[in-house]
Amino acid sequence: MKLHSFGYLFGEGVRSIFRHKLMSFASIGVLTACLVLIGASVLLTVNINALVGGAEQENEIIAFLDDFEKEESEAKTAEIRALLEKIDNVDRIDYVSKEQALQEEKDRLGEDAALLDGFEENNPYPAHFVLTVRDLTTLSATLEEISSIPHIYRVNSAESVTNALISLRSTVQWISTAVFIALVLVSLVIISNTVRLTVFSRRREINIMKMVGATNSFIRTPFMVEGTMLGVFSGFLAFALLGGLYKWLMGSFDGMNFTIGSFDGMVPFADLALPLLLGFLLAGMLAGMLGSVSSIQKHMKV
Amino acid sequence: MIDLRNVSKTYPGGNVALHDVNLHLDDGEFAFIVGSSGAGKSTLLKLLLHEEKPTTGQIYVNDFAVHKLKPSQVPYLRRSLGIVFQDFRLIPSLNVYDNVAFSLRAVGASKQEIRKKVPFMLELVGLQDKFKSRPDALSGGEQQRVALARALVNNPRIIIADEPTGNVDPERSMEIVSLLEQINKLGPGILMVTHDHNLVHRFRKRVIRIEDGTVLSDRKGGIY
Ligand SMILES: Nc1ncnc2c1ncn2[C@@H]1O[C@H](COP(=O)(O)OP(=O)(O)O)[C@@H](O)[C@H]1O
Ligand SMILES: [Mg+2]
Repeated sequence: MKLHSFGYLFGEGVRSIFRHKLMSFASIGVLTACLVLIGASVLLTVNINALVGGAEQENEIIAFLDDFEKEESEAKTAEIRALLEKIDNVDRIDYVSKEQALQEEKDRLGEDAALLDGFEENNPYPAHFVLTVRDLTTLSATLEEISSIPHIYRVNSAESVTNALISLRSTVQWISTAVFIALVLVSLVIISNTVRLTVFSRRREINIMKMVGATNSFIRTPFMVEGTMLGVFSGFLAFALLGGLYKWLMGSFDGMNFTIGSFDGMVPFADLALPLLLGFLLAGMLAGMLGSVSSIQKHMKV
Repeated sequence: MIDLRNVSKTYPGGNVALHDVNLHLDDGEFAFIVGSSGAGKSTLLKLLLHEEKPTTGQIYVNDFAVHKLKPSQVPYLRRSLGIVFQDFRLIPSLNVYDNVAFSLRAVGASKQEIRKKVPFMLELVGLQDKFKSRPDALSGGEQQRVALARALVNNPRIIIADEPTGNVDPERSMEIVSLLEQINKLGPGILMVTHDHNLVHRFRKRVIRIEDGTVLSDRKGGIY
């Protein structure tokens, strides 16, 4: 395509937005509404995940070691640590020696620590590893692997609490994925209908272009420019609307000042702004462009 | 140049629109096509434009073998033709100047080319004073002259017109065909479908009569 043609076609795409004000207005409205709904479902998911997502770090597994010979202790401990590190799912590994275990218990007792006086000689508290895992869903298999390591004689973990959390989290993820997919599908249908209407109202123009010998790419370009611009504009608009809504919601939550587990309020908007904006612009552009190309295609045949 | 060899067209529903049509038009020739409604005249023109494809037979238009034309070549076939319709097919949102410029832009003409050619064409069809008007502010005759200017601006080798005077009053119809005759003298061939006996008698050109999808007669001198 010649450069001056492209300049003209680009201008034609932009002019067309203003020439067909009502259709442009409708397209922007539909696209923005779709983006805001989808964005809201994503933001909700992100926040619910933040609420239940800390579970891996919160759930500590304690692996107790039997008492082996004192002089061998350090080498053995290193060996066991190496075996633990080999397990993929194990994340953090902290070692607590017998002395530290006793000290911790004393700290816990506080003023009653004197009860434990004299235990240093015959320390009953076992050395142990405190572990966290990367993925709680495979916890029971990981626990078995840990148990099978020599000198680990017992493994403690709050498996039932963990299972409840996991099932809550996977339910939330399922629902939000389903809602997300449903919204995307509904949006695609609405958008393609809106664009089809636009193209239908201009099939006369398209037909004339074909009759005077315009190539298909020449006919398509202004529609693509128009669709893309409307998409980008809708992306910005949806971002502004959703951002405003989110900040307003956050303001009302801050007033309540509450905490659940590790959750201390909504995820700050600044952490989400860039991916949200880029996602909106990309989605808006793609929807606008594909929408116009797909619905114009069937008028191109003649 | 137009050449049809044993061309038949049956529409998907089973409607036979044309049956074994043979027809030749030299470069620069002027011919009317007449015939009753439903005879197959518009179908014939659509085949020339590659708007419809023949069921059997060969069609040659200018340098194109239309019956086996690749889709990518269709725009170039149409650029070698100037097409005029009964309903004018102007773009309502564009003024007269831009409607004519439209077909130049569609083939990638430069700004200088457009600035030079559009006023020249508008003068040729006698609409230089109305270049700023919208189509709906013009009479039928004037709108058809805009369409004619648009068809001419890319220097077509043939003008193909389907009942161009169908929506124009008799006096203006005469003007339009006179204009076509003038254009014909500048080079392009003319193939025009019409219902209007008076026009055909008055201009004394070659007349091709089509009935029931076949060529019934093909004579010079305005008689059929
Ligand atoms: N798109 C179509 N599909 C089916 N039949 C058609 C179509 N176009 C025209 N026909 C039929 O083909 C015949 C010729 O039509 P047409 O070429 O338009 O005639 P004319 O222009 O001479 O009035 C008619 O019987 C008409 O009904
Ligand atoms: Mg007809």
